[in-house]
Amino acid sequence: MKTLRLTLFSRLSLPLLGALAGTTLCIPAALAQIQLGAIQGTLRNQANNKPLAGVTVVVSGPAMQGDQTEVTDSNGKYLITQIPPGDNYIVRFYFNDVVVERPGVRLAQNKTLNISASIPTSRGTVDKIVLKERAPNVDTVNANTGVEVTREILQNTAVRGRTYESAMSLAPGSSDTAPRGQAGGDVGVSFSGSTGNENALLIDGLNTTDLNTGVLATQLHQFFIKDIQVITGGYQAEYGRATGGVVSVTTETGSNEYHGGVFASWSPYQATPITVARLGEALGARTRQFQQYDFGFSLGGPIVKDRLWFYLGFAPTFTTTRIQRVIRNRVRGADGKPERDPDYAPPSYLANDDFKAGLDQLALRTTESDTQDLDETERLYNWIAKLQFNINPDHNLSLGYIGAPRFERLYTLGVRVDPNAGLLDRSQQIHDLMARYTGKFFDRKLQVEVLYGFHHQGRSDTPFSINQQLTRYRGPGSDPYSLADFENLPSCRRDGDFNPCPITDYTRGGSGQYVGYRTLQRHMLTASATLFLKALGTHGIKLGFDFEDNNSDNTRRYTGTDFDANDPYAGRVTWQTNGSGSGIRLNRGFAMPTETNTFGDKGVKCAAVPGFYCYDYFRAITESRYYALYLRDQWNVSFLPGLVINAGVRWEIQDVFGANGEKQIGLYDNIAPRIGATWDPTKVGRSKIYANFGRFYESIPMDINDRSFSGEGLIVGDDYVSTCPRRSLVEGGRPVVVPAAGGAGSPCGLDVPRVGGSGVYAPVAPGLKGQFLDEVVVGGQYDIGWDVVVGAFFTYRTLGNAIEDLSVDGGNTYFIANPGQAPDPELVKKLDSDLEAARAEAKRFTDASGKITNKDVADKLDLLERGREVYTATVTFPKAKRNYYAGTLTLQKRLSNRFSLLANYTYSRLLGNYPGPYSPFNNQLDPNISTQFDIIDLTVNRDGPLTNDRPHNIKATGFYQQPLFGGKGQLVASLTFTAISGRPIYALGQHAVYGLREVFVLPGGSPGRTPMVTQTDVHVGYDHQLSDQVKLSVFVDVINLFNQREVTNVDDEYTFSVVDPIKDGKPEDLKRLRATDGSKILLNPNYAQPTAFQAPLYFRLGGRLSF
Amino acid sequence: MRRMTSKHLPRGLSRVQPLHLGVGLLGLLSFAGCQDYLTGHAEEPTGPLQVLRLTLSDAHSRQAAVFTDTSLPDCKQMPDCTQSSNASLPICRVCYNDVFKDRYSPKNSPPTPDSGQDIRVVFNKVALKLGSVDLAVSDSDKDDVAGAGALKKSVKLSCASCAGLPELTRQLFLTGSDVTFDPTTIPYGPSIQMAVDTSDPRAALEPGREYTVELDKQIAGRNGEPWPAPADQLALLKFSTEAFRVTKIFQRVKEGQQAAPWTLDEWLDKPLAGTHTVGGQSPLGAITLVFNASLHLETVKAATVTVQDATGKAIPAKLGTNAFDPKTCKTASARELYIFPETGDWPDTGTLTVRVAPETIKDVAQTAMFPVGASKLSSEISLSVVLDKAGGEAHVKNTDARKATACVP
Repeated sequence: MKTLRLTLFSRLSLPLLGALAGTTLCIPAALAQIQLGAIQGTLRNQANNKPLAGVTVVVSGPAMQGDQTEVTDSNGKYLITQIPPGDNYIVRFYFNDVVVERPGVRLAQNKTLNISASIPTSRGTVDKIVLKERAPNVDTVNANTGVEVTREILQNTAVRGRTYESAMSLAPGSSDTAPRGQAGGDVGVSFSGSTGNENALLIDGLNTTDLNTGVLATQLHQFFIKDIQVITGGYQAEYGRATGGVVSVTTETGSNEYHGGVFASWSPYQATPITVARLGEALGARTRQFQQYDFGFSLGGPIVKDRLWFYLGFAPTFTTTRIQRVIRNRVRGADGKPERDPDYAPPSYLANDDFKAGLDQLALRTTESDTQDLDETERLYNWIAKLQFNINPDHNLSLGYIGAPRFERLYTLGVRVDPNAGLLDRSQQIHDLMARYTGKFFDRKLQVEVLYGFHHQGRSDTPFSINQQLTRYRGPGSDPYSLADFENLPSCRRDGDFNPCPITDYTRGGSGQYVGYRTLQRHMLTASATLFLKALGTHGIKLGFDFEDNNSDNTRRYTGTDFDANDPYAGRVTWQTNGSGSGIRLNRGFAMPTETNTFGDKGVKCAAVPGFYCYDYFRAITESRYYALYLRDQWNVSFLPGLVINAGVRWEIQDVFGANGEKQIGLYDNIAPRIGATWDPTKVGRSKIYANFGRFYESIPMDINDRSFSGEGLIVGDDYVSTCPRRSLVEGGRPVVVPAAGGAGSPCGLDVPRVGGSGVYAPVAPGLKGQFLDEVVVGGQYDIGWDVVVGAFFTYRTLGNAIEDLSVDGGNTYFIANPGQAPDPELVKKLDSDLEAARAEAKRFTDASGKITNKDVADKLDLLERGREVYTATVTFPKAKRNYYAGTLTLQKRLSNRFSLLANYTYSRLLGNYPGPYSPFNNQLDPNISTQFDIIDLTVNRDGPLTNDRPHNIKATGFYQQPLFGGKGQLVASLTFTAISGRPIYALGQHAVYGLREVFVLPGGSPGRTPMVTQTDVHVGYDHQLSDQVKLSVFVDVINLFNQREVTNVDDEYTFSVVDPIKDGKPEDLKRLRATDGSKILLNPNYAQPTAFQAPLYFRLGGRLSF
Repeated sequence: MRRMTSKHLPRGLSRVQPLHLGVGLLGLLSFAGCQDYLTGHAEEPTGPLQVLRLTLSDAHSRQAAVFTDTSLPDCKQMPDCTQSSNASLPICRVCYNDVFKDRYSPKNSPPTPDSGQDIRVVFNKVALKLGSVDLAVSDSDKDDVAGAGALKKSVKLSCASCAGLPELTRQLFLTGSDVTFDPTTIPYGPSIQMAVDTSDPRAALEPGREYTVELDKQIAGRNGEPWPAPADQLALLKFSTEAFRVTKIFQRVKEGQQAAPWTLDEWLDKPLAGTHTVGGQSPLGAITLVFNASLHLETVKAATVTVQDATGKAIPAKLGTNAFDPKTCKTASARELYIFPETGDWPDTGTLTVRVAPETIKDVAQTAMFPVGASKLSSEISLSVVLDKAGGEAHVKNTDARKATACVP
């Protein structure tokens, strides 16, 4: 494994160990943004306790290629940096003939250990002293918080998945309980209250975060991982572009010896999950992992010893998820009516009976009559290839390539649908390339790092029902559809008034919007230089720069046939009925005001949207560039031993370009100060008290380029029309409303939908500021011995500006702004002045009819008028708020004495009105352009606990190793326990303009909280040394040992009716809630019912043959 | 107790610390049952209920909804809002920062007589009680007679200068907020709504009258504190309807190369003044003017109208109104004034000069049987009507205009 040696005090030299000093220096394949580990300390003369100069310090270990040496300065201090993360380092101090040895040092990424010692100076008295006391485990330099997940933890504990994402949630304050891809859930692991798309996900220094939305893009098999550093707070100026956590993965590397192995695992069984179904309705689903297996190999070693190393790995993972589509029939009672469900109890987690009112009336008994197995498949092919060149001791180069292509067959619409309608094949190509150079200059006083990376994401979807329009039918609980209205199921046909298979929500046709083809590419270049100098202590001054050029080419479509100018019902659009099923509207599609798009393709004059042209696809090619310059000083203060101050500032620039190639957003004043201090009261590296303040800016994902700055015109249905005909879709089915000519009610008088965004670029409010959060971390750690470090820290995070799209005309047009930003009077004056000038100019080009004849002049005037309007409108919107308060207790014991433990407890609150760039309320993953602030009506009642508010969060994982057979064998037993509070529940209704789930009927969280979710996982493994070189390992993981199946998500939609919010309302107000038109509301019969449960118990068996 | 040092801590930890830790964790976990999901909410305003505004909305009688918000200032009176002494004034907030500024102020958007179809007293928080009685959602709620009565009593309309008041229904809206992108689509709230009972189509507010919404001082929010009726809030509860006037004239104009002329409703944004030209009048149809209030039939029938052709020759004509549906003879709104020839139809071509004397057209009083009201046209109606037989159908045929006036099914 490569190592890097860096001298701190270059004027010192050590002839005695000169040879060692000249040993090969290699660079670990870590990243430029993430620091490697470091060791520092003060050596004293045992006789008089005075600092001892001229002691040679040598660090060696299995993760290093060669040793690193340093000599203490006149103050007895030394610092050795750029040490790759790893275990079992040995630090030796040489003075005269005395050798003092500190074995068993464990070093993590981005940590600096303080290893000090007192050295006997009496010649001949002692030859070698081995310090029995364990090396300190406290990073006494940095003030960041998080967790380090080592290879040992990954391989000796029951990790729930096969890739690194599963391990991220071991960090304190993190949450991975929310189900993915459904309202009320999340899109990734949440850190410190952020949503799952606010993290920076780095593999060997390369930013692998999804460019479009900020979620995890590159999957990596855990057998290729050496170390995962999850930083949840307190990160320094090197780190940016994250308002959640920074997750840095270091992959395995080659070494001077050949190492490798073959491995495989198989998950053949998962217990039966609980059926998820709408209350008393005919369709339900039981989803479980039917089978998962993976296998692969890894091999690393020297090509040229000490000069050139390689590492290769390949690991495909195959997963089959079985969705059991359950058909349930209602039971007819003696009176001919449906029987009530005798076992029904309203959800206990609802806080108040007012939320339960009416639900029991809708709880009817059902029995399963049929099931249908729908298998989703995923094939993930993971490979890695690395080369590491040691050009000479001071110049090193490493190259890496990770591939993670993925092929899936998915039922994208769930089960309340003709199963084949939502079926599609998805192909994703994800590849990462990186090249990294490290050089040392000026007698190693200056270290330079340069990294170039390329991240590629490609995706294409192929729907099976590509020519079918999607139509979503919704019906009232009081008179629902029957499944037999949509599918040929004789047993479900109505018998008089009795409806044996009622459903209130059903989708038919195709899968709706899909990605025709998408390519996202990131070119990344980072460079940094670190200079070490002395002034009132030692300074490590780092100046760095990083740059990303991100490109997006995205084509999306809706299923359906191409548009036909003569048929207003044809085309690639979707349809939706109202809550009572009596009316229908054209729901979504693409339309633009121009006859020809950017790519020369012509649209069809929209039959349903006058003045617009409908397009069969929408494509946008856009770009964003991010620049950052940072300066950081790590100052070991000489006059107050044990105090380290980290001060820095990071200046970020973001240029967001639209599809026309013009810059739409330019953020040039994202100044992010970072300042932290740590103090080791023991001064021997056993403790620290620390505090840190930092400002972190969001890196705006490219979805905003693709949607707001591309001229996308999205057809958005307004009112539902009741004049469309009704037809039976299947034999014996009751006629349902269809968007077509003919039949009763023909012609079908479609209501004119609006075109969201109007097919124009969204203007950007003048003076737009970047989205950021401020963070304060205060805490302490203490190494109590036995390699146990206990700690406590407090975290406060508050959102500064948010960037969102706003509208003052009901969503016809949008502008990008900071909600709640008060206008600067000076800027208003300037805008007024510019506007006056533009009006005067326009007057010169105005004809008798009042029309401005010069297009440029007219456009300029229009732009200025819009700019003035949106700038002053911004203040009328509430400011985005998200405040996170957390107190955390931690306990870590590194692997020693056969035992390792990682445990933490966090009590936190997350309050505000803005969960983040993912909106869980309506499952919208459109960062910075969600509906949350679209129009001012949507902002009412949002203050309260946010979805990631999970007050209690406990994690504990540990393992014990028991040698057997005289040390040839080893039994490993591990237990992982997690407990996390449920999420707040909401009461949502339909908005007059924005549709379902957009109105907060009561303040967020009023209805209560979902139950706490606890889980216990077990890992039992056995390693057997077959020979000196070859080891066989077998293991079994039992995930969710007690088969707990707690509710993890619920339906928050309280009513299907168009309602306004009850501002600051209370639960008892619900009984007087009326729809906007004054009518009684239509209660969602499924309100607060579970929409997801904990994944049930499953096994994984695995083995590995390694050498 | 011995002081814990790093040397002793491991042993101590093994015996005592887990117990303490466990107890501590259990204690913390016990908070899981508390109502932590209620924290972070914006608090309902303290103190008694406050009236924020009175809104009136006429969604149907004009080509666009007429919305009035009595709390909006007249931005022509705006001081220099860049001065720090003025920056916090409500008029500056509205006129400087609001996108729509004073678009819906009483001055710019005065209530029409049909604004009585949606009168809302908007509060700062939900109004729930009248004295000790909980308000019902509707004043016709048969399941909660006491609450319905309280709601009916809670808010009334008065007009000193009116001949009468229309019947009103009341509804309690707990929903709504003080922000809306378009109050005509999403009304302000929470509120109590009064609406004119339009079971008789003539029911409306009277034009040109000052109205006051009388809010019972016993009305209260959740905390039961009665409304103190401060002067500034009382001032918000007054409004004046626009004067009696013509709002629309039916005419037809040729548009482009269309084969047939379009029928065009010409909306008038201000009262008729001088001579108004009406283009493309079908000789078969009555010249039709639409008023903002119902016309008193007998007065209309008694009024005189002079019609002359281009040569100055008088054409005998009469006035009528849509007091009845010409087919069913049911009572109609009587908003339309018909000018039609005494017999037959108008000449096929030419230009007619039409004059209706001032003060001869009057509205109805909003009392039983809708007798003659106090509003009358302040100025003469003077029209220059261009006849065009080539046009399409008239808005109302002369024969139907006679029927609608006389009710001869």
